Amino acid sequence: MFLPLLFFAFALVALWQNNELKYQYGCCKEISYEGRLDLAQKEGLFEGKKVTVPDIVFKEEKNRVLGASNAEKRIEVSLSEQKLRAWEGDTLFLETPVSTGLRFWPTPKGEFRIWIKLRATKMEGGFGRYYYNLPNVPYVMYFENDQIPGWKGYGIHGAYWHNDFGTPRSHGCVNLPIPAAEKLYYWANPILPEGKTSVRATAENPGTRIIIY
Amino acid sequence: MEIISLRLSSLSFITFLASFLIWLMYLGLFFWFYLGRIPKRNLFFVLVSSLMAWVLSQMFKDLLPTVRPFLLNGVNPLTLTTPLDNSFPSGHTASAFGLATAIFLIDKKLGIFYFFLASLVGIGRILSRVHFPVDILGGATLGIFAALLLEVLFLKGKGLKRK
Repeated sequence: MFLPLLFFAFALVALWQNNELKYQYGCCKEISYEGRLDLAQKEGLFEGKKVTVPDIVFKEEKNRVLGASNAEKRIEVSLSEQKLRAWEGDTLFLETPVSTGLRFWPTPKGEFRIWIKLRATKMEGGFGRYYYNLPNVPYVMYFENDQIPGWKGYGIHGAYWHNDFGTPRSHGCVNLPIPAAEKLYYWANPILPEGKTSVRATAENPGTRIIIY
Repeated sequence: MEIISLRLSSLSFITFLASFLIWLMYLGLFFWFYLGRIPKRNLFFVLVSSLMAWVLSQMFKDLLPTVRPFLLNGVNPLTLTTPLDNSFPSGHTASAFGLATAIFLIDKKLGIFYFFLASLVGIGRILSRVHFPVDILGGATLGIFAALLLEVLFLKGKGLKRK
């Protein structure tokens, strides 16, 4: 029978086509860039399961660790090791296991810069059984480069809906444990002005370089 | 978790093709059954072919995470409901072609008419932005395969009345 063969050929074409198009659909589409915590929203939905937003998300920051030196800051994410390392020149500031994109929603490789930092945001996306609706995603750092514009919604952020750091788990973003995300958020550029919940990178206050490999 | 939202405001010809035509095809089947053009013992075969095509398509949908076109271009689909499962293959086209193939095995003329309607369903699904052309091709192949498989396996080509 040639029909099953034909079907599998079409399936391959569909997968190839999806592969070509996958970066068109990023981690999440942003609605507001305010970055404020929504204290009323304490429940999210992730792949068909309800998750409660833990209190650690709402914790007010106490210890802001700014850069210790004037050396250039950079963030390296290794997709194969599932690790994130933050460097200040040659000094390691932070190393943490992360969860990057699953096979069908890969985290893009390359060199990026943070273009906006948000204290918290709502993320909604996915489809079918992969649908997710997560309020108060903490410590979000969206990045972009020439090939992948910021509105696609790829970023680094804390994750409260799973604890599998070290294995791919996300829809394209880099998921961090919340304490590590908090540390990175206050360390990375652009520097957050006192009392603000979001900041965009500017020429005077540029975003930290991110290398994903 | 299936999220489906009903949209009644934007009904159009494309919506008719994409969302309603398939149900009219089932209605038509019962109409021709009532007129005696589809023999009683074959009605079950026709319905099961269509159902099996649909079940197979849902199975492959779960296996192959493919994004639907309206999610990529960010424009709302024109279908009655918004499907948020995976794209490949098209379940509507699979069941429509399963139906058409099964009818074709019983009644050639009516079958060709049903193939025409099934193609319209497929075209409607593309125009309403819920499927890529390759999803339609995959769905059509799956539908034809399901009906032929059922005929060969369970009826061995004997149980159907041909004209």
